[in-house]
Amino acid sequence: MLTDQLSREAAAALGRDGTEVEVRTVELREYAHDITDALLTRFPNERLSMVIEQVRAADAVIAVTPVFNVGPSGLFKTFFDAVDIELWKGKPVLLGATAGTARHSLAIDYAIRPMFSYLKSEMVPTAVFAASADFGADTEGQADEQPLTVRVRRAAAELATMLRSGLGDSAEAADGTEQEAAAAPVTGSSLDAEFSDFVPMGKLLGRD
Amino acid sequence: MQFGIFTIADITPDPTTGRVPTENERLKSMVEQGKLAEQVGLDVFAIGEHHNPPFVTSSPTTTLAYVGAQTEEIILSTATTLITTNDPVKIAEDYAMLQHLTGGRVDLVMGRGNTGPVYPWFGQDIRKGVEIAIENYDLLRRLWTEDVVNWEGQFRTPLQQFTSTPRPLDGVAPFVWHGSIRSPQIAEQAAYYGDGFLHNNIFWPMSHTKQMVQLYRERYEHYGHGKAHQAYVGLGGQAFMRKNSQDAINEFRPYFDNAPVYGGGPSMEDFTAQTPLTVGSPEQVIERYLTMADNVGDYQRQMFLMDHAGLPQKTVLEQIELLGTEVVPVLRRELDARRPADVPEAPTHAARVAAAEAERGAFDDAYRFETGDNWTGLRAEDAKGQR
Repeated sequence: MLTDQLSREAAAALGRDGTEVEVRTVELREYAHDITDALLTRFPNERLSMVIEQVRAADAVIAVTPVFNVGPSGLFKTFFDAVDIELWKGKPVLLGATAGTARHSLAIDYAIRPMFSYLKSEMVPTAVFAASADFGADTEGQADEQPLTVRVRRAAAELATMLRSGLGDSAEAADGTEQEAAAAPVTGSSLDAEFSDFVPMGKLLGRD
Repeated sequence: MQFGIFTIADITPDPTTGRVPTENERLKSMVEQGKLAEQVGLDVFAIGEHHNPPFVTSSPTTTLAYVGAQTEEIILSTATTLITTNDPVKIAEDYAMLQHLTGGRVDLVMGRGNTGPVYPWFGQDIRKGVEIAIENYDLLRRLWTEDVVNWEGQFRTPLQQFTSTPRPLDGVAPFVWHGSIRSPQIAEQAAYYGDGFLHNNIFWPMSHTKQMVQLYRERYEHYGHGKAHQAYVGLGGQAFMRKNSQDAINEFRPYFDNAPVYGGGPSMEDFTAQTPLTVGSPEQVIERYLTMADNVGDYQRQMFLMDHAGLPQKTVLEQIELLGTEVVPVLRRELDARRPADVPEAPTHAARVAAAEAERGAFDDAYRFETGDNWTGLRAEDAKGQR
């Protein structure tokens, strides 16, 4: 429910200047077995690879998890453990979490945001936490001074601003230049980025 | 095209009986497998190197020499030789010895190993794994190609006027493959020297293997050893066969489900779809392995892991026999037929000697060092011609 609200509002915020937005929702539950397998075999199967490619191609990711035991759900964490960490570098990410009670509301900042800091994602400043009570308060201003819809809209607007300023793009570009300088002469091939992670032998042996 | 088997000599309980082989049984079983491999017409027998339980194969040249003494034709290889923690001087000596004693039936697959703690056991620093592999291998090549080596590096004491003995048989060093699953640096290293690249893809999807091999091929051409499609490529493989494919599936499933590496993970059906593991009839194995060259190009060596997951020795021997008598003859015929004329055959000592002689003339194996108490290699008058 929160995911839908966040993606709807983000699409609306971006659409205001005519930007076309395509939203794809991935329910990790449907990939639970694939994610566990990837953690054990160390490679993603075909189904999970398709999700990974969707994430790679995405201009931004809205990542939402329930809060279990003061942290993200194990499945959510496992997904990140099972895929290549490079996927998240410079990626604009809007965080959301749900829980039964508002007393978990800092879980995002204490237990979820740090992982994304480590992954070097570009995080939207506002993360949205929704407790059960928030979904009951459907009229703006009734249950909270800053009801859920307002928080969602603010986060969506921040994400839109971030994307318009080209934040995700610039992160990618900066990354690209850095890699080029380090790896130098890979042939004009179609290989994935991970295969250019080497130093030419002449350089390594001090002969060039 | 060469076909062979490799074993890492793990001691794994048989999940169907709980039986655990002794170290002695396991070592003897490897020797028996190597002998059978030759009898059923396989080309290569390779063993791993590990220095910790549950493995028993800490001294590969001992085992390979023992197998070599009881066989005539089969090439003895490794899977892999730890280029990081073994002193390159000792590798140069050990494998040149083996080469002489077995009539040149030796090649090596270099690897960095997958056991972190092994580094300090042999006085090395795991943080320098790649650097050590690069430096050690560069020295190893020199020890085999140069009679007298003066060398200084980061990871071992310098060498002054050192001669590694015996010199390689017929003046030609054993062929070297570099094995790596995930490190592009090793593909680059193999390409730089014009050596072979062996991707042991048994736990990996073809999409990954294909790219690692492509990287190696591109870099091989970049370094001017030949065209990309002429580089030396080897693959790993895994199969379990019975005449009737359902029998193979039923018999292998408990081994699959409890295997130390993938047990508890994907189902056997998923894993066989995603990796080279094929469980079924010999025909199905043939069908599957005929497709590998479509992805990696015409290649020179196909290795199979038949001996793992606690399979009893009797079963392993049956598998090796099926592989050698039913699968490999067809694969050999079909894959040789599709290989273009300009793609080299798998490397053998005889072919490498012929190539070396074509280049530098016949090799004179007359003893060319001083006899008596001599630790500096060549005689002074010969040394002038050297570096």
